[in-house]
Amino acid sequence: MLTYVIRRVLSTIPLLIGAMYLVHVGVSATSDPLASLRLCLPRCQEGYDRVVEIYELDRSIWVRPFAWFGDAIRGDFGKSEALGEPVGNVLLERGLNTAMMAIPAFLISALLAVLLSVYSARRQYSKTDYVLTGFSFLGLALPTFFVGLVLQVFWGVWFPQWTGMKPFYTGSMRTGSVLELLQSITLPVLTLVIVSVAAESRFGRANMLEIISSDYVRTARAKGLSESRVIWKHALRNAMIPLVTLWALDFAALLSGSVITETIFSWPGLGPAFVIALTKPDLDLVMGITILAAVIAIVFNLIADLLYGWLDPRIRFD
Amino acid sequence: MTFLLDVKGLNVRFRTEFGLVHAVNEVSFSVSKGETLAVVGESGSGKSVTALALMRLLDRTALIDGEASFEGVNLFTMSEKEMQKIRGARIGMIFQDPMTALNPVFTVGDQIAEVVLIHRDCTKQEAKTRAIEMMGLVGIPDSRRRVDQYPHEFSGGMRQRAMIAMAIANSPSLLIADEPTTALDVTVQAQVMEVIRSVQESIGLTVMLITHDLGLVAGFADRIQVMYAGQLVETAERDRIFYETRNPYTRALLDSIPSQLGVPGTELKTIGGNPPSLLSPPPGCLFQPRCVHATEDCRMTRPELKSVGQNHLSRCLRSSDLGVLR
Ligand SMILES: Nc1ncnc2c1ncn2[C@@H]1O[C@H](COP(=O)(O)OP(=O)(O)OP(=O)(O)O)[C@@H](O)[C@H]1O
Ligand SMILES: [Mg+2]
Repeated sequence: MLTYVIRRVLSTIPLLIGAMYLVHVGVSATSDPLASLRLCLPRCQEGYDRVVEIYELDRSIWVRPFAWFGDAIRGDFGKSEALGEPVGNVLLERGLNTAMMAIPAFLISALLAVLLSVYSARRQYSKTDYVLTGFSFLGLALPTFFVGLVLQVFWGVWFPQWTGMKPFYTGSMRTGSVLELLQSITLPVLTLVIVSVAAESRFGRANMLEIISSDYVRTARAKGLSESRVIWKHALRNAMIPLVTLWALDFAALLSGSVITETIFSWPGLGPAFVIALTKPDLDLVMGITILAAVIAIVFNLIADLLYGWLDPRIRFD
Repeated sequence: MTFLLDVKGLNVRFRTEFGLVHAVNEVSFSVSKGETLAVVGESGSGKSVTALALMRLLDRTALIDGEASFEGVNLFTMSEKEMQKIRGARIGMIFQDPMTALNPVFTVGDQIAEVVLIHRDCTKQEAKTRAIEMMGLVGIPDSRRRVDQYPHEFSGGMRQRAMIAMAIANSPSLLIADEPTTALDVTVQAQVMEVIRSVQESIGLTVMLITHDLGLVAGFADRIQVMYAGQLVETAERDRIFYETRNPYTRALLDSIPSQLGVPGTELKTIGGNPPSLLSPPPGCLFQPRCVHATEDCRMTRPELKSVGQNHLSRCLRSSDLGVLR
């Protein structure tokens, strides 16, 4: 299994390099970092030449990525012009902020998805099932920004006195109290939960329905197992197999920064940083966030595959 | 004489969007200790529904009434908790398709040990030992190693043996086998039947064997019960069913057994037509539209199950004037 993991990781390296190369070329081709300097030529010829030299702007956009690769391998991801900090620091700090929101959002939505899909599947076509189905379609249909805005207006603006929740993040991550943090993290986490749980519980319910009418669940009942043991042991383990892939994708997406939710709630995570990086554009920051997202995606795909193999003995790695 | 299982007036109806499906109608029968009762009938005749009703394994859409006394208790009035103590402990059940009847994500040994663990006061290790012992009993070779294998590592025949091991692990008094060999190929069928026969002898099991294969039943059953469209149409000792057939449906069923000798040129007989709709059963005899002996009267009057000989019941208006059917 270790060799499987190593092989999987190694096999993603060419893909990673290819993707990073294309992103670098793409951003260079669509932006001109010298645009503003060029306006003041020839007065600022000296500065202009320095920038050209530092960023090797006289070279073709096709070879420029190699310089970035050279530095990246040595752990130097450059400096973010927009945020005035080394990209490595930005990724670390903002990545942690994003994780602070992503981890609870993921855990809550995964747990809710399991509970709701078991509940809906066992009480198929009951009133509660219809209500849950209705809400999940609503969750699927409403865009994230809308869900976020509704929560923000309702809890944060109209009725903040009920819960003390804040519509925006205002404090500082380091100096704020835990209570303050909770007040400002609840609404964005809730937004993410609503959006992910809708899709996950739909999928989970369909899955669970198929499984609870399967032959091996009937066998489990014929053995005299209690209903809860039939569901939570025999059915659930099978129902988790396809969900694992969905969870891995969702969690990876959350950890790479949820652009819309973080931006709406002014959460200082990777999402807003990516928006800043793209609009400037801030090439080093774009590259930094992209590679972080790519690595996260690769790692979570691998975790999903390993979990898959652990849950389903018909899949074996060798 | 007291029976191990005594079913009286069993009715099973399903609520569907088209109305009530009358899957089992007024079925009464009993099984004595140690005997093998075969339930035969074509597809859709209500064999599985009868068995699942007894185990209370039908879904919520099923409406069951009647009485089923098993070892002196009524299966239909006890609580679900009490019923769980019967399933897998006093009544074991195996199903048609061994490829899907085992849970793919647990080892075969765990699945057999589980039924031992929940019904007995024993340790995991003891349960596993029992699983290995049972696997040996049903003829799974190398059971000490195979106990840790998963269902996908077993062939169809071996999976059905594992199902049998699971069903009898707690030495139940009744085994309900619902078409245990239908999904298996012919050579394996014989082996699986042999396994059932040998465990029956070794632990004194009563067997209710459901099948649509009368050939399979010929060498195995003590008594045969023929079902058609949710009704019992004939029941008697095995030899009487084969040689003193009184019901036209049973006769048609027997005639459709492919000849063992396989004389070239003989055509395989089939029963023409289809069973009636169970949503709104027509008046009169349910088999009448397909029956070669049908008369005007058969169309109007629903026949009752009547005694036509020693422990021999048949549901046919013309039983007495037709006599033994050949
Ligand atoms: N859940 C259900 N809802 C509605 N009708 C059902 C349901 N289960 C079974 N039936 C109907 O009950 C009738 C009897 O079915 P059953 O499965 O007992 O037949 P069977 O004799 O076991 O046939 P087979 O040889 O195909 O297994 C069939 O007509 C079937 O359509
Ligand atoms: Mg059946």
